[in-house]
Amino acid sequence: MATPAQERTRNVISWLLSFLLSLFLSLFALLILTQATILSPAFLKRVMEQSGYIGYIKQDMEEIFVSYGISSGFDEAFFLSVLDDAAVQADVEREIDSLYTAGRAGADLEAFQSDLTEKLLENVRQREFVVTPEVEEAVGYLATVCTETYGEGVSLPLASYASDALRSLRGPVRVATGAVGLLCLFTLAFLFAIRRRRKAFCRYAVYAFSGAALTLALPPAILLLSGRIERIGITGRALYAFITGYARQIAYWLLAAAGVMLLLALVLGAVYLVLARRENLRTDREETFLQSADG
Amino acid sequence: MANGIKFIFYPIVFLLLSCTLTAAALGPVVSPYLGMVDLLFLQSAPDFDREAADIYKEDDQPAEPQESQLQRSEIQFPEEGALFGKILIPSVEIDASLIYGDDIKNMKKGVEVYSGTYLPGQGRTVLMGAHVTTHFRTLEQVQAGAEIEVRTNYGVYTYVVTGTQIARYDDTSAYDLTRREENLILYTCHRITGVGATPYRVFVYADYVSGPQIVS
Repeated sequence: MATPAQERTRNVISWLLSFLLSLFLSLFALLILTQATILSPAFLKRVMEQSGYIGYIKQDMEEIFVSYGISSGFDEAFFLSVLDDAAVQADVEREIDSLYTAGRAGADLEAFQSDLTEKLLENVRQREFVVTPEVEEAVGYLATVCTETYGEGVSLPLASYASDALRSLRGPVRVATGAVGLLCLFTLAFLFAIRRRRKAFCRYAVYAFSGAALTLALPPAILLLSGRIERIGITGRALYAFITGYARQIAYWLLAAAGVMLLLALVLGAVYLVLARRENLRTDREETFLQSADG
Repeated sequence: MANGIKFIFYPIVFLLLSCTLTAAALGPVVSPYLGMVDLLFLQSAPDFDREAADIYKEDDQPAEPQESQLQRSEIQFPEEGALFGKILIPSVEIDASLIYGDDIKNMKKGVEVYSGTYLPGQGRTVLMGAHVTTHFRTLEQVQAGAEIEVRTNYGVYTYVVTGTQIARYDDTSAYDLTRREENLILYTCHRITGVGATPYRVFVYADYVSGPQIVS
């Protein structure tokens, strides 16, 4: 039978372990989320598609091409037909893949330039221009300028800085996830060893999971409710749509992780209630037995 | 404390402790930049469909004679994409709207004033460009001595052409944006054939003749 002092010490240690477990669970969830979002090319592609980023950059490029066309003797209708939705999307996705994987080629700009030069020359021939070497050179230069614009359009902002960071983070984040996961299990095991009564273990585990749920839920909730995401000072429509979409998705995933923690807390809470009821029933039966024995 | 209340109280305590620990750990790294966070946000969500307000009306001509100086605070400066004046070069029949900013998409509206330079009246280089197929179709024919009139929402300016040249767009010796006296540079594409583009531009240089100077 533990003395009051021992019981107090055990309570303090349990409380500390519960807090540590809460921290580790929050960190574990953050690391899992980082792998599923920031370090995931599939997530980035999905956000780009859902935010309308690709449509906006295509529209921007078309407007620039039309302006080039005005100064180069090509009409608006021609340049509005040059860009294909599927091709732009495919090139953006190649750029994303090259961001995450070293050695992967980005958008195929040579193919774009070659294709565009052919289309320009075809248009020139249809308008019955004589295609002299000077005309070919001028058309080729126009195709080069358009290709540079296209390359800038499909490439991702700050790609070179981002790719170094993303590639270098992958390994350490995986290792950290494993390490923190082990810490969570170790803390749980230690807590279970100290609180041999399963009811008490459940109680401290509920504190930990609830604490983790609150820690994960608070920042995204503040971000979403404050309206700051919509007020971010980005002047380009495409980039604005992408960044706000990305921030919102990260916030939703954090809330989902908080939801998972809360669900686990509720399950443990339900187990706690069941165990508490059984203990009360056992205590009642013991009291009834003792009373009848005395009688 | 009853167990029921502990289920609410302790998680909140854990949250506060986590926030405190995070602030203590990241504070030294983040706090120098906290003051800049507000710079990243606007007062309200941006409206990308809003067109810049045009601030020049042909009927509104400044009083004659014009003041020699204008207070900066009295001038409505144009925003990016706004129509704020006209440029006229009678000798080559150029009469085009003046648009502030250098977004190439706006070049179909008129002659653009490069926002990396200055406005007429600011005593420095003013750089203006337009398409050779539209507003600056005849620019290459302009001769030295030709008069250029720039009408803005705040004053009328005249310049006289001093020379022209054809140079590559990336030849920085073709234009001096750091000159400390008012001058005007017009540029457009130099075309050799009827279609296509070249890296060459036509540069037209003009010195200031008259117009109110903007003072702070």
